[in-house]
Amino acid sequence: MVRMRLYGWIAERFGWRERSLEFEGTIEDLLRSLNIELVELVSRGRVMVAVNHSLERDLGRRVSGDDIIAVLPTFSGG
Amino acid sequence: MGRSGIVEGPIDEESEIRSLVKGKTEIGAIVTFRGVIRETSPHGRVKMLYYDFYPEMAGRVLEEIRTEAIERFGLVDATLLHRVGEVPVGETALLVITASEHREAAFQAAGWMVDEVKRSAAIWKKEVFAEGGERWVEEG
Repeated sequence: MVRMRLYGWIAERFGWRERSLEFEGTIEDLLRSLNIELVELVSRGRVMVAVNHSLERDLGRRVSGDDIIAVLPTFSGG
Repeated sequence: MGRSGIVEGPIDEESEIRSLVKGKTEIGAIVTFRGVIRETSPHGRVKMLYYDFYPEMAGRVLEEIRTEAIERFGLVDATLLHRVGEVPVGETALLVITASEHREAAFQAAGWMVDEVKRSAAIWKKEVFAEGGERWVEEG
């Protein structure tokens, strides 16, 4: 089961923060299966993706099993 | 000694300074920066900020920033704390303390650390307004 996490305004917009789901494929496929808008937000640079707690720019990377995939808005700390 | 981390309650600046300088007689300069929640915003009167964060990434990056600052600027030590959750107006959300033998390194390092937190720490803030309503802050 891959684990998906959403943060910041993304979590509020989609109405959930964490989900586990059966999935094997690319990050892009995973995002599309959840919401087509996510892929567009990543391509426009408003959102980033992390796999297992590290930023991942290659949406073609395959994920499966125990991977943790996080969808992150542009950082705004401080 | 200095430290880094995510904090879920008020930050005690004086306690952090005491802990950082204890036993370090080579320190000749201490610079502190406090990022404080301000009431004014173009979008309304702010009551508090709410900070969301990615625990595994944010904590690691804060420590990377602290250790890199010590090495890059030749600091004696440094502390870097970021508060999360609800932070009311007037309270500290970000504390940077840099200690060095001479003032220039401490000043430069403090500014650099603040910039790095904003650029690379997985933390997000939302303005909560006194008259109701809220708004996520988007930067970059």
